[in-house]
Amino acid sequence: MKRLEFKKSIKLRWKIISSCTMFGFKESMAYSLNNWGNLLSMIVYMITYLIFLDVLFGRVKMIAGYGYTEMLFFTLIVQINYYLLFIITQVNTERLDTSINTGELDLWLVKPVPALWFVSFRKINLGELLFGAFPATIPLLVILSGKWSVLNMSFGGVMAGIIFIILGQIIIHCFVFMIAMTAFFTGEGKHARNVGVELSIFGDSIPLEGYPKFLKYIGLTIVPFLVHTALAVSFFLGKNTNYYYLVYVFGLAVFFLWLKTVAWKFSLKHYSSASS
Amino acid sequence: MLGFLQVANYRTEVWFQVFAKILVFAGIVLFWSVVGTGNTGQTYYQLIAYFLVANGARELIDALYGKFGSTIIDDIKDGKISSYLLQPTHTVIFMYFKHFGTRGVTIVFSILYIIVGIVLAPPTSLVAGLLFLVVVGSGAIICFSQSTIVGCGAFWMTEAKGIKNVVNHISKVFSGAMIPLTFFPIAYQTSVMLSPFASYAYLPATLMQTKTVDSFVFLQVGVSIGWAVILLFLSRLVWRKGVKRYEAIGI
Repeated sequence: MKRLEFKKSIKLRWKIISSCTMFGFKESMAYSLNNWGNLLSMIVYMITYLIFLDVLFGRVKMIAGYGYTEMLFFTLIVQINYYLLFIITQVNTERLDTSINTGELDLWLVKPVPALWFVSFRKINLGELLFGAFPATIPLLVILSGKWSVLNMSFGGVMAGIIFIILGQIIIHCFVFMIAMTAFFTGEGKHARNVGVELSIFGDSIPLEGYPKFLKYIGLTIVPFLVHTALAVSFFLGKNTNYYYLVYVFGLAVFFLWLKTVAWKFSLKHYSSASS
Repeated sequence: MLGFLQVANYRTEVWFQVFAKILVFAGIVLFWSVVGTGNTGQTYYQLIAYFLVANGARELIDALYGKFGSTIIDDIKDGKISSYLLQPTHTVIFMYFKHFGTRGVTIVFSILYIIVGIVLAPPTSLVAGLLFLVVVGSGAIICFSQSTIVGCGAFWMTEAKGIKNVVNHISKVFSGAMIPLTFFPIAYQTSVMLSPFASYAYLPATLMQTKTVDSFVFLQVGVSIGWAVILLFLSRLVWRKGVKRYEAIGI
């Protein structure tokens, strides 16, 4: 019986996430022609960032032991992580904030769906992948296409890097979501969310090896801004081969998932809206 | 005043805003401490002072995200300017000061940044200090004009925010707030320093640290004032053309 209920629970969660993703995609594509401005903006952003790196490396040979090509690869991973964070986490924390502020959350709390799962993945903006992520990453991939041999990548390092990105995204999603939950207590959470996002992208221009020890410690524990980008890149490029980190980060992901659930239950107890 | 009170209503949010600003600046300082002062020809305190004054000046004049441009775009798209146009006030100035009131925390922080920057690396020349005030003024006019021109794009197209973001990305790099303009290759360093964007961050920060006020400094200040006049005139022209095209329910 319990196994059947578990299967039903998984099926329901999968149905929620797939329906929300499809709806989000259709919504963003409905006004697809309006997205050319974003597309242009992303292309120009990447060009200006490449100019910045070019100008910087005109004076500097290395940043924390990373050469120009390695920094380009670092930037690629930063962009991938940023868009994953934006598509999955930022959009949904913004919606959560609006729902709390307007009382719309009451409607979702009475529905027969797992509420936390639903508000976490209510909208997954795949349209942003087309008009944001691809324009931001394709120029980098083109530049890197002739330079892969310069990067010291191994199969184990690449696998570890991918796992760190996935686990890091889970951790940072839980972290940003917990900060966004302050809206339950304050009524308005726009700047709290901004703080969460700023913390998650803090030092996105700095490789792991550039951080002082105390910041490295903080970034890999209580404010986990280093896992999904700096740590992942360190493994991708073979700068770090201590695979103990895989076990540690997995444990950290489980811990943050548990903490998010606890924070949600605590916040709901303090939730009051116009209709409750 | 009303705008400021509106924002200060959620006090916790104000504190979060303050913390976010400290975080952004801490990230810049950390990055440049990793890059190393040996590569910049400045001491650590001079570099921190440069970024404090550069980012403070840029935030003070609203050149960080050009939010006034977004405000104009939103008001045009929502039809709010219909009511502003009916009022016996100068519409753009009215909108600007309405927007200005919501920037209380940002303005306080930007002034704090500038003060700390001046304390870390005090200016050595009174003339440079006076020119700093002139350049911040001309930078404010340039930014106001740029935001108005970009915001007026909403009269002609639905995706004006994309264009606004394009201009922001360009100004971010070429203002000197991300990287001092002296890092640029000699071949186009001068043209970058004489662009309107340099007045946002690089020129005010350099004036605070310059030891001698030579003819090139006066040239840069003169060019900054020139850009302010030209862009202000252009913004008025674009606004008038845009208003003629404007259609909304009831007008």
